[in-house]
Amino acid sequence: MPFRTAQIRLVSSHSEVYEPCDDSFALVDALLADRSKLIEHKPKLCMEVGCGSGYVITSLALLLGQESHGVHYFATDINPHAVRVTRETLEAHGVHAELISTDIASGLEKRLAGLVDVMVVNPPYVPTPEDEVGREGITSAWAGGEDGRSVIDRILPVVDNLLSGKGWLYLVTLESNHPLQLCLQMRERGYASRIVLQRSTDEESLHIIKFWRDSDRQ
Amino acid sequence: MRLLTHNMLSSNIKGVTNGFPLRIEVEKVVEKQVDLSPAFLRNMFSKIEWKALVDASHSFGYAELPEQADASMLDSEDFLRKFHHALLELHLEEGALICPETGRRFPVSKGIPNMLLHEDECIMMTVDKLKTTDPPSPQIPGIGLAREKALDGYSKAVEGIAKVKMKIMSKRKQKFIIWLARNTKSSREPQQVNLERCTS
Ligand SMILES: C[S@@+](CC[C@H](N)C(=O)[O-])C[C@H]1O[C@@H](n2cnc3c(N)ncnc32)[C@H](O)[C@@H]1O
Repeated sequence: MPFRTAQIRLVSSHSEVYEPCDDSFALVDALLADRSKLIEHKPKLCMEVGCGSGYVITSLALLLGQESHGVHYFATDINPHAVRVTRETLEAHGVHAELISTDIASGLEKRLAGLVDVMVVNPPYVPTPEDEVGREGITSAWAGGEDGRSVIDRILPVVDNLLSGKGWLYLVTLESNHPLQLCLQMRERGYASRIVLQRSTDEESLHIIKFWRDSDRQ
Repeated sequence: MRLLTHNMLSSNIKGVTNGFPLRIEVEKVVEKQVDLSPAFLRNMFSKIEWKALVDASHSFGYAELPEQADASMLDSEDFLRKFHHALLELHLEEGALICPETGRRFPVSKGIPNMLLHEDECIMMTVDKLKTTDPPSPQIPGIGLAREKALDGYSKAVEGIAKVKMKIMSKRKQKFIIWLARNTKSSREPQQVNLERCTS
């Protein structure tokens, strides 16, 4: 049987929710390419910040299996419509994730600290004026402020806090987000990194970066 | 929302020191069968605040969990089954989570807790900047009002056009065009929209 990811025709939608795009596909392709390593990794808790339509977290759940494999999923989004759409997408594929409408992981940071083994993030990364960031609805799906880094720079410390000792992060970035600088910043927090997928479309150059704690030999 | 999630959530309101556990207000609980994984339960046990789980399961009407538990109990199949049921099979579908310190209510709807805060409950950065572009408070109320109305109309029109465009364009193109507009045009148009946004 071929490895299954989420089916576009089963992905639910809403006018205020980001539809799966090149960036979403690139992230899922990176996860697919890393599939055997991910399975070997034996994650217990996986999480997505900014789940949008649910395409990515559903694909991850299909890739890694569900409760019988001892894997559980959390997903958050700042847009409550997105979280409801994610629930529909998950249900249409017969998989489950625990969903929370929240800013990044607010409310989870104390008790979930150090427990997440795999984190996936496709953040709002498009460079925009700073005052567009965090607006209600669809704008918050892409508005990333200066260099598209406003939300990314807030997400990374949270991810660092949530990841377990063996935790991995897969992050979507754009050339204009300065991915190398991001890697250096994470280096200071003790993370090694690798660009696992690079893809140029007509409009943008996407990089999927994987981060892991340097002490954890892959 | 499973009780696993309840066990991982605390009140995130600024200044709250004792935000765990959130009290549960139950409207509707549903049960969904989940495959049992002893490995997951054994691993999770040390991370769970047992008393919070017991109390939460009581509020769902489930009274089978022992008041106290220690790791030696994980060898008992009966215990694992009950732990599994309470942690993963009972869902709060409708209701609320209540901050134990402030009484703030976080609604749970369609099984999804909403932990989003209002501006004054958290530290927000962007809003103040916006306020500085506010029109000066009007000397003559009538004129100020007319101006606001005009701006309002302008921005509704802009938003209306944007919505129609959205439907026509693919999301990808839409994103790019917005990016392009922001990066190439003078700031005149977006600023006008902002002006309205903070007056409304
Ligand atoms: C580029 S979209 C990605 C959606 C989906 N993961 C995908 O790959 O198709 C970014 C998502 O992040 C969400 N988001 C933006 N800011 C956020 C924040 N501060 N906390 C949580 N989610 C946020 C947006 O609502 C949007 O759904």
